[in-house]
Amino acid sequence: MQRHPGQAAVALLLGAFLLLFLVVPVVKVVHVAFSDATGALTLVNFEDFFRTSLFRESFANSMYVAGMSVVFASLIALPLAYFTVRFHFRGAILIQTLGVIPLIMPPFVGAVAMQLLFGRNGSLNLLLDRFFGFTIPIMDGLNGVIFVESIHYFPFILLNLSAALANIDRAMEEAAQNLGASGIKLFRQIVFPLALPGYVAGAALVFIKVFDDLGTPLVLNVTNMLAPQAYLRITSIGLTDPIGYVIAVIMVVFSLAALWASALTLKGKQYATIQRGGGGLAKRRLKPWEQAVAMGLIVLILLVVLSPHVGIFLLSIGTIWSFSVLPDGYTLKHFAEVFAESTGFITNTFLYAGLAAAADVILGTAIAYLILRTRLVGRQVLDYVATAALAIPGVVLGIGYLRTFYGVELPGGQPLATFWVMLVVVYAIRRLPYALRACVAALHQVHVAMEEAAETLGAAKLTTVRRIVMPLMAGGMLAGFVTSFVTAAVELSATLMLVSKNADAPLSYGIYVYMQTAAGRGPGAALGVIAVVLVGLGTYLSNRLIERGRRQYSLEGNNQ
Amino acid sequence: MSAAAPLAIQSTEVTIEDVSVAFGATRVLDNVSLTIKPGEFFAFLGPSGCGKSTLLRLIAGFGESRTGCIRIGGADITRLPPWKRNVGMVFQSYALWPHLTIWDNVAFGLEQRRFAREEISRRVEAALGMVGLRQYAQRRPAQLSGGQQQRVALARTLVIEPQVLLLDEPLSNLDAKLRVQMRHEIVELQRGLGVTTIYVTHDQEEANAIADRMAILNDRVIQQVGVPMEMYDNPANRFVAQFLGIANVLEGEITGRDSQPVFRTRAGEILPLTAGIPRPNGRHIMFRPQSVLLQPSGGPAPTGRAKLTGRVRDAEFLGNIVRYRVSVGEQVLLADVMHRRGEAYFTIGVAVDLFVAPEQLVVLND
Repeated sequence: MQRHPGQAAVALLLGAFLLLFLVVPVVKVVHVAFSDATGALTLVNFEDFFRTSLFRESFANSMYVAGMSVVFASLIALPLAYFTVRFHFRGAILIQTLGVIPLIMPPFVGAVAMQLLFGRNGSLNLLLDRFFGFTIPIMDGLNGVIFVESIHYFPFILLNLSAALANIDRAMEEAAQNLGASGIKLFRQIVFPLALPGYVAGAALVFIKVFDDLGTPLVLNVTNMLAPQAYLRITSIGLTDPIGYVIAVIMVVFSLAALWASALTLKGKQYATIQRGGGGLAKRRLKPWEQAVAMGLIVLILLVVLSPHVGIFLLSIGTIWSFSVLPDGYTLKHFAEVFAESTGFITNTFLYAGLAAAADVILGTAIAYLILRTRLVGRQVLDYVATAALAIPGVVLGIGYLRTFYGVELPGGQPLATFWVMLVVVYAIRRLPYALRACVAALHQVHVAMEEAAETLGAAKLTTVRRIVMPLMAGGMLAGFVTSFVTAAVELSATLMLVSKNADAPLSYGIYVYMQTAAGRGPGAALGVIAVVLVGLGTYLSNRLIERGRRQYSLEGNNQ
Repeated sequence: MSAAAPLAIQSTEVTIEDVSVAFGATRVLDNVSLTIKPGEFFAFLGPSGCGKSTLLRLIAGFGESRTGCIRIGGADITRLPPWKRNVGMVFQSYALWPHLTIWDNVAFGLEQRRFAREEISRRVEAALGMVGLRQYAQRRPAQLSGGQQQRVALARTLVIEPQVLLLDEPLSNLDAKLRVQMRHEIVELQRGLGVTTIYVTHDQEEANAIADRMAILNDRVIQQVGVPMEMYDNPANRFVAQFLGIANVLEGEITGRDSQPVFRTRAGEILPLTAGIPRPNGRHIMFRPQSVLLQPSGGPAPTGRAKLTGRVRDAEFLGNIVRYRVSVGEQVLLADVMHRRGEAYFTIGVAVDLFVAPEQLVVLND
């Protein structure tokens, strides 16, 4: 009946953007990985890759590190999740807070501090050596990477698992008890299977994040892993070296496999477990001695989890910190130095992350509207493609951009690939899945009747979107903006690939560069503290916004 | 609510001609035609999934018909988008905008029509006064009760002086007591304004109580259109008979001469009919439980009534009546007996006679 040329035009624009900045670079990477010098299709690059012992070792190391990080992250997250959902006690709030803290600091920032605290000559081992005469090689080689990554990414498992556990209807548990199950058996047969999709989703996310992480191994000087190898090949040998592309393809394949595995576990298991009146599992109070043990355990985990933050803070205000338990003295000169010399990093970060987040919210809202409110043919494709960015590691996207846009020159001779706007684009693409989900969720909460009511009262589509849809989505959109902003602000993988000069570099790059030299560690840590504060404030703000939106617009009459 | 109508609404005729709707392969409405008279309070009644809401939404401009057209006051509006129709719709969920105050909700439609500020003020004030909510103008929807939200939705819709008022199950979110009260308020409002109103409901009591006329929908088509009491007394088919109330239906055929027709059931019982039956080929006969005279077996038979014999299976005491389930041959028929203080039940298992007067028997086609 009614044609919608406007909608089609918007969809085409969105499609073109995703094609140019997501699909083409990735396809380019895959294509190069499968072609020889003449451009013919071949598997010879993969043969080369697996024939070289360094690459076989890197591959095995990456798998090992990602796998072990999932194991250790689970060991941290499982007891914490269990305590929060099962028992009434004060530590529960502590765990919930603690659950978010690691997320507000990218692992590569904490890695240096972790060296100083847990390294061979770090605080812990100095103390152990002095009093007991032995040391623990926590931070040696791959161990260090696993340790840092587990501590930083366990919240993904904790949050997903807690949410899944909290969604289980008490009646499910009571029905099992009524039929004779209790204790461990009840947990194993009913509670855990119901929460399994949440656990798997978190675990898959940890695996992908660790597998893709470039900054942490580089900062810890571990280069025999896939991401660092890809980076080193491209930056030292050049854009023509096919091994970098082969690694990129392998990384994409494993990211996709992890996402697919998690999707598979979730499939057909969308347990709508919350029914009317039932909310969460039964909680019981801990006996005093149990409470003491639980608190002890939580405090221990809290200490470890907070150590990167404490370490980076000490480093940022310490004079010299080497071969000693604590810094020799304290000073503010690192912060002074950073604010005197490196404000460029900070302003760049605000500019890039701000633009990227704004782009994400606009793209996310447009795609969400097309998916949920129109019958445009192919609208789901936009959703799938935008979400697929989740599976593309930053290193891969970085390589793809270099390959695709290096040949394109801006007026003045600079390659498009290293133009600072490309950082904005790459951030926008990488964070789009999160912003999109936030926008879709926000639009989901707007009942279609709200829009139809406006239309019957005489408001055309655009007016309806402006007056009704946008204001009602505002909270969710803002939350999406903040999430995109804070995560883009500490992105390093693609950043390392695309930054060509310090003047264009954002905070994450600045921290990385500072951390390369012993003298730079202080100012680097100061920048790190700034980043953590920025991300922490942003996360807090976004949570507040989501909460407020929920309270303000929960209209009882509308959802019955 | 004040009875004086502050709004000037023209009573307009709505014509639906040969409308068909399908969602993909699922047909929802087939060749529906209907005329709603100016100022009429009309109900679309039917079970869920019968297409009644789809038909209503079509009038508002949501969804599209593959065939036919819809006219309001003679003008073809089939191709107009919702915002150009001037058709007011009250949604089942009310769809009040939570980010706007009550005042801004009601003013919205007037703003779209680019009225002057003072005119908007005057009309919003009048509309809120009409539903008795003037003092709540600065609140937000979430701060009002369900019934108040319902009134705001009505005010917001009526303030634009729509040609037609559409109400989509407007009472389904209210509790039973409030539902009856709002029902009266809506009828009063409609009578005062004279606005042509279409009301969708699945509750036949609600439709019977408020509608001037109604259309019963089922299986994608209109089963019958008419005045509620006439349809209850003369249902066109079994579906209508059973949807509008409880019906005893017997299968069989009409025999006998035109001047003295009788209905012979499959079990061989003979029921005399009145002369000049509307459907001489009907294979079913229907009567309501309250038309049955129930007597102990072997008592004196009232003259001129059909007689069936059976046994009481069970009895439900419903307060004003006792409803007996009586086995008659293979079938179970219902018979209502008015309950008066101190009267006793028929005991279960006792043999009884059922008498039905010929004028209470309705012949049905299928």
